[in-house]
Amino acid sequence: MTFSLFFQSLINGLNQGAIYALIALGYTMVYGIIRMINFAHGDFIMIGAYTLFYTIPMMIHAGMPAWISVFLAVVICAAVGVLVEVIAYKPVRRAGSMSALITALAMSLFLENLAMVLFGAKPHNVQKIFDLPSVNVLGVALPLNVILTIGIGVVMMAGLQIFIKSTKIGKAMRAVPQDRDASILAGINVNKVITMTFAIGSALAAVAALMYCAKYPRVTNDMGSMMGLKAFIAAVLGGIGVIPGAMLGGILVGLIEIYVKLFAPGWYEAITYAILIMILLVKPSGILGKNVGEKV
Amino acid sequence: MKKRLLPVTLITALTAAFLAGCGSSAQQSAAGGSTAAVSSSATQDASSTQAAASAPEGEDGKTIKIGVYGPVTGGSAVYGEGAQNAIAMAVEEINDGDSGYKVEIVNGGKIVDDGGDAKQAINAYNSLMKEGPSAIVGSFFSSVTLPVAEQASKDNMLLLATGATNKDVTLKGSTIFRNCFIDPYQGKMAAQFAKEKGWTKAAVIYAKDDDYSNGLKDAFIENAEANGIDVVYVGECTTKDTDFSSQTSQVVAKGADFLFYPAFLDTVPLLVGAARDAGFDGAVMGGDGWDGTDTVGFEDNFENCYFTNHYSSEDTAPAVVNFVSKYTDKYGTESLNACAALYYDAIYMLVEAAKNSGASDTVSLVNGMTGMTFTGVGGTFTMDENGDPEKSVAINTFEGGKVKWLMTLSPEGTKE
Amino acid sequence: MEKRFKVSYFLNFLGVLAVFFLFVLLFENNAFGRSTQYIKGISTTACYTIIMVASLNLVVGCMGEFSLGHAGFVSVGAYASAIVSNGLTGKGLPDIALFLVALLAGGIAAGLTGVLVGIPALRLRGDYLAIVTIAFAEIIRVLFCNLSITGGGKTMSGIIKLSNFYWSFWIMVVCITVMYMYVRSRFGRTVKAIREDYIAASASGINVTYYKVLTFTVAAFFAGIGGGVYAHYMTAMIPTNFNFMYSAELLSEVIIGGIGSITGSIIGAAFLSSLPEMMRQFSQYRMLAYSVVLVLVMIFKPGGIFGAWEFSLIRVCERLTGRKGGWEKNRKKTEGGV
Repeated sequence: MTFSLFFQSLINGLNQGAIYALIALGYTMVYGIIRMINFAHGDFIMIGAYTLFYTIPMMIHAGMPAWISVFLAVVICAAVGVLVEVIAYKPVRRAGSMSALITALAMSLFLENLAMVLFGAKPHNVQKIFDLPSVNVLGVALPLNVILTIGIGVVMMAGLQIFIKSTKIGKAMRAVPQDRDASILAGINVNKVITMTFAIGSALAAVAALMYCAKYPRVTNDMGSMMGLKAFIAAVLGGIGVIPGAMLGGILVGLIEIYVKLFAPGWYEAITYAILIMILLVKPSGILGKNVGEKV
Repeated sequence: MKKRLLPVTLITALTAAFLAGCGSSAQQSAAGGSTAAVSSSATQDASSTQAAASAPEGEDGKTIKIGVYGPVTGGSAVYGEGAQNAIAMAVEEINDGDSGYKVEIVNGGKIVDDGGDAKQAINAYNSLMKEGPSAIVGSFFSSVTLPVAEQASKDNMLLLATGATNKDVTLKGSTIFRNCFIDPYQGKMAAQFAKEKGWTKAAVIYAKDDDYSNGLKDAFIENAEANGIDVVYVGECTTKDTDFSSQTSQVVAKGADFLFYPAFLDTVPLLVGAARDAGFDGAVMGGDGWDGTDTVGFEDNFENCYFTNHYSSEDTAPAVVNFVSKYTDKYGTESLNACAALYYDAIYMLVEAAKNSGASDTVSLVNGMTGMTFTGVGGTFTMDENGDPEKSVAINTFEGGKVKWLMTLSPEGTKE
Repeated sequence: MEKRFKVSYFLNFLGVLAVFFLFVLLFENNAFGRSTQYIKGISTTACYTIIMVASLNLVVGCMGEFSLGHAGFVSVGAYASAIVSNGLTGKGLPDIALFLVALLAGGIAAGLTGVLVGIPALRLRGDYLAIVTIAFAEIIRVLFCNLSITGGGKTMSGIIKLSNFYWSFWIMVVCITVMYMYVRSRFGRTVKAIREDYIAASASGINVTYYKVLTFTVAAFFAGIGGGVYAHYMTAMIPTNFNFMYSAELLSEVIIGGIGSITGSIIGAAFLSSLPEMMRQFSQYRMLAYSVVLVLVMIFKPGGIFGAWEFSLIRVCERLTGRKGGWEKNRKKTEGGV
């Protein structure tokens, strides 16, 4: 394998990894606070993507750059996230983790099929969002999109960390998963905190949708489910509940996928899943996670 | 007691609904049959209509009862839509015409949905069979058609596959036919086109979990090597993949000047985009699965792209012009695709088979179709001993994102 | 076996026989006219779906854990049985023997897969177990896509159509009976104890891992048999048929029918597998309706429509004959039939 192929694959892996990282950020944030795997997270991204599909032409028509439409997508995704939480997740919150998981699965199916009914099952192309050129580095094409994606990811990650560590709401968000009853006693409105978490997580999903569509300009109603699963693998790998872990996990998964595709292209999905299984068995808290023992 | 009451009521309700469902579907078929007879009677004498409505299997020998199934829902719903419109058009034309035969589509003139999914296929087939047709038409996907072909062969029912290109379909029995070319043929034609264009280094990316993609890739590689083209890279992907950067980087690294991507329309824009981004400027080619690709917003990427198809809407042959103009007038161009053309031809082929044999029951239709020569939207072709047609292939390209007809290759390899 | 069990089994067998003869009567006398093949097809579909759903209920209901990768076991059973029947055909075996051998092969292959998957996976619980089962099912699917004996990603067709309705019905009856007996046996009770409080159970000296893996394997075994019936009905299949969507569908059917209730699984599976046919006009909205029903069920009746309730022929007979205390003097009546 030549050096340029190796380097090109590195770039490709970083590109794909950065997108996984963005998606994983939302996932890990919701899990870290509510201790629930939101199966529907990938479908929030799908909704964001469809919103972009419809609003980008409007923006271009109005003479504004295409990426402004992300703000509308953020609003819509956050609204959908809150709606799903209030309608479906809140009633089953107390019923145990199995009910919560099934409800999440059901919401995911619901959103996917709703999108199919509303928008049709045929995939649609999203228009080109960023017209950034490719820079030639060491004889390999480096699309500046990659740098942008990673940059946005780092900014969001830093922003989230500051938010969680320093603001009052952030502290409340850290308190809820540690001990819910004590948080209520301390005067935290747990419902509000959870709703806010969902809103932020879904807003992150919208930004992830933007960068995803910049690289893979196609929306279809079932784009969410596998994406969500891969992002979950990324989040777990890096340490679920740990925000920098999402970035790390995402980039690792992206790199692994691309390099495996070079050698054994028919098996890359299996390898990715095998890694997930390995991590969960060996170190379930992930690379950056801390091991929290189980209380009897 | 109350706790028991709810489940008991539910069971009773469910069983009742289940039985009612069976009953109503049996009733529906009777109702559907008569509606179809009423709708297909445009300008004909009352006696033949009455006879068609009450008699099974076209007892009067002049009405051909056809059951049609296809991908009405699912990712390829646009194909099913085209098929539905096309057969409605065909039925109207035939029943208004003077061929001496009438056509009746069972199930109220509607295509039965197979959802593009093999699991639903057998049920679709069974639901058509209960209406007692003389022939069944469909479907577009090989994975859907194979189980049906197996069953149809057992039932000695005529199955005319419209778009299922896997070569095993017609090998299931002597009553199974198709009106499209088969995968090995498309692959061969693609290799021939590459040779004629003078490309020498070919790369292939194919979807590992799809019959169609596998079939075309095997045929292409075999014929490319026979034609002196060097296959420098064979890459895999799956039907659900969205990222092709790894494969396209390797295509560029190996220095190919031609990329063959025999997959379906939904991933084509992504692949072509990825190829162009990776720096590949050579030709990209696909099979009939590219029909209907959405090129909006990425027209530039599609320069120097080609695909083989069953027909081209710009073909100047009278049969094609007639079909295209009539379809566009009635239904617009959104669902005007090869699937529509194939289903349209299928109905006409059954009428031709009836004319050849003189009767409209299944056995006669099978006799009439064996070895039949037919001219339609797909050109002129003859059925060979397996039930496959020897057809020409249209090569299309893109200009400004719109599909444009480039040339037609016939089996002997001459250009038309 | 105690006398009360003997009586109840005999009675239930009579009940099943009665149902079977009803079907035979209807089909042989062409009660549905031309729809006969159609209805037979749907009924066969219902039979194998029932086996699959009931086997998943062993994991979800009896063991209280999630498996979102059940389609993987089904596919192992389907492919194994297809390979065996293709290999043994023409060797002079009567059809029924060929069918049974193939199904057993499928079941055993799936059971072995269950052991292999269960041992690592069942160390996890809850959400993580669910994700790991998805991962394993996907790995199985990719495996089948890459092996040439299973068609290598292409459709494997030409499987002999051995699944007619009568055989499928009786195979389903046998499978359900064995599963029911498992749930009622000491294995089942032990697993339920683990479900209720696994720390207390393991403190009582129960080898938790052993029983969990055992239940998982039994469930996989029956899923494999269901898969075998499926393969010999469809005669053609492709690995993408057994994707995550199929697992999710099976799980929805378990939950809607009733977690822990085999009756619920039977009725739920029978109803939900014939639903697509009854609602052909609304096939687009089918999965949408499923997901809405699922959400509603989770909110209002989290145990599923039937909960843990089991239909009992003995109870019906007792009711009818008015015997308040039951036929056996010492019999205790408990909810759920444990």
